[in-house]
Amino acid sequence: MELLDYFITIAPVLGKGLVFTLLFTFVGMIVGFFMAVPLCLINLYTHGFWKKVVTGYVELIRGTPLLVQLYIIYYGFPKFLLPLGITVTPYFAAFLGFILNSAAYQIEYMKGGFKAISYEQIEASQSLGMSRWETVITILLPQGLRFSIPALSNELIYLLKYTSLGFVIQAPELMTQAKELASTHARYMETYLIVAFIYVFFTFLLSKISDMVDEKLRIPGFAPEKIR
Amino acid sequence: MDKDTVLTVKDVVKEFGTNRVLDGISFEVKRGEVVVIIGPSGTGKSTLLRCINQLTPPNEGRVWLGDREITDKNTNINQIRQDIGFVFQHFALFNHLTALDNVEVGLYKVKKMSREDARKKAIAELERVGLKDHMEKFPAELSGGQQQRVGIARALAMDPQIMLFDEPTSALDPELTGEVLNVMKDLAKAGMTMVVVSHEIGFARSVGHRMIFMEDGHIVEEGDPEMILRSAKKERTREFLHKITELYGG
Amino acid sequence: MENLGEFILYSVLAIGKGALVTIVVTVVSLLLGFLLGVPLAIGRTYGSRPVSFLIQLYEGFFRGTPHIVTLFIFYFGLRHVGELFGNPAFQIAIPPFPAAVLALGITSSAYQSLIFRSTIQSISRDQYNAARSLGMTKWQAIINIVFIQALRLSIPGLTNEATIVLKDSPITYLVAIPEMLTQARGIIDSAMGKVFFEVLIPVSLLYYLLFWLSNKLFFMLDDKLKIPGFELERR
Repeated sequence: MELLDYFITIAPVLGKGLVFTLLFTFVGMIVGFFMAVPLCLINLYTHGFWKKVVTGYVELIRGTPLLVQLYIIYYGFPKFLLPLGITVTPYFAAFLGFILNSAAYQIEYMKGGFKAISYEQIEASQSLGMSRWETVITILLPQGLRFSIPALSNELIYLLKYTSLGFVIQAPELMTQAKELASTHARYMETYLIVAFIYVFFTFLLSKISDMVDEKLRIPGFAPEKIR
Repeated sequence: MDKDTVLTVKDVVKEFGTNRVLDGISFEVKRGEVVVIIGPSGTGKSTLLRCINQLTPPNEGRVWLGDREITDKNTNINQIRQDIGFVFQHFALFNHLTALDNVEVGLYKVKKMSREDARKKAIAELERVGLKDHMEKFPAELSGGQQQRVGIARALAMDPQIMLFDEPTSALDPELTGEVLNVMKDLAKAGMTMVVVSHEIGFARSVGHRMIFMEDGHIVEEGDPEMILRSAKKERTREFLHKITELYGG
Repeated sequence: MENLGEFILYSVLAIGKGALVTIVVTVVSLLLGFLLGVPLAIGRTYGSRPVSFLIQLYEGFFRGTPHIVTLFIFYFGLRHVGELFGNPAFQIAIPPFPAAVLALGITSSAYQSLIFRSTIQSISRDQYNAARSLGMTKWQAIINIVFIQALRLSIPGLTNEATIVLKDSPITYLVAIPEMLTQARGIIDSAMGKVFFEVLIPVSLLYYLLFWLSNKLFFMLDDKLKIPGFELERR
């Protein structure tokens, strides 16, 4: 079948792009996660200057388009980074942009997860004599993070799709490759459809995996509402 | 300070904004005494308990546990809290931990016991409240009465000098209050020093040594439960008791 | 760029025009998403098995595909769709604006369908039963009783979706829609790259302002339509 032949022809190039797509996704998600956890705790459980800083950061990132953020990093940052000897490559811009963006959204999702923990439990752990730090580690993190899993896995899937914006800053992920292939071979519809199905496939895969993870780690009695 | 006085509360004031919830509360609790605090909702009874173990620090006033001043800034509050057991209205069990874990966690994390010692003690405490068979269950799998008994076991396991109960049965269905009240009665008979905020007049009558009636942030009247119930000196007390016994029975 | 004053005036006007285009693109796309999303949600909840299945495929495809890909399919792909059938002369050439709105709108409809489905299902079955016992037909009950309430409950979800579409709108610059980012790039280019942050910072703040306004509008709508005792936790 012609389509199949075409697919086999472009598969290697698509494969390279896919690798970067997945790389941007997972690095963005994981680094974003480790940034988000402490920032979220600061935002929820402290009341000073840093709480406001985190709020400002989250509001700014969530209130502006990712595209604009990537654009600013790739085309704007060199203006002050180049004099410092730092080159802004597409990779640099892509990773930085996706990490900062994902972290902000993860902070917001985790807030929801932590807020689901009744305040009385914090009081209970303090009544037992646990220090604030111990309360965070033993009571808040295990529950808050688990409650956040559905929202965070949603974020992962969103991120996978949004890495396609790397196209705008010439990061060599799937979409960039697709556009080149399409114009090189002058087969637009086929290329984009194939790419669409690749994204759909991975989206589906990720959502199934996260369902499994969520079930395994769920706290008994706290199943999320399933929409039929 | 009297060696037998476990808890001393002096002139405690607590304000939330312009709302003066506690307006100069003072009382003492001796070892082995069971004090029951009654009063209309929202008069600061829960706040008072939270002022004692500093979950809500008071604006003014001082609190002593034995001869250690809790309100002193230099006191290690986490240490003192180990000696004060607190039981919550909505149980406040840690949802991600089994009943056994809930009771153990204070022992090995705060009291720094070894895991085996902690486990042994936790099992013993759960047995004391009659829940040894349910120890591997999560809070969501337990009824309200069972959850509250785990909450009591968790507080007891720390071997506190005094136990504070914040409306322990108010969130329970009527059939379940009995099992919790029985545990509390046994505790009282065993000589535990207890301060209980509750509407359960029957409990006050059977094991209470003293009853305190609070309203509008003040102590209106205090004394022997039977005396107050039968012939309270203040009009307000009588009014309140009348309402309560209508609702909850004697 | 002779006169700084002229330049600034020109820039402000250009960005203003871009903001208007951004708003129009966002609103039209959202509307399209709504008009498609509602029947999709109802079809998925109450429709027959094959209908439900087809809708599921639709949702899966458009929620699983990045909108940049969808956009390209509608704009570039359809333009050359003839080649698929060996007839290069056959084109479905969709102009930029409809292509942009279609791409954003159809993607949004897949998400809005999910929003409406979850709120429809949260309305208890008793409501439907009560309506039927009064003598309403199946569809009367669904539209007048269940869906109206679900719509009200969907406002928070829609608030979120609106900001998502707003933040997705800049990709339309790829098909030459003169929205804010396009205008910004134009200004930067015409100043030979001497200005960057001076343009992009105000533009970012404008996007944030639109984001904030959108939320405010929806919150006000939510407040106005308040049914006492029938609230969802907001945020």
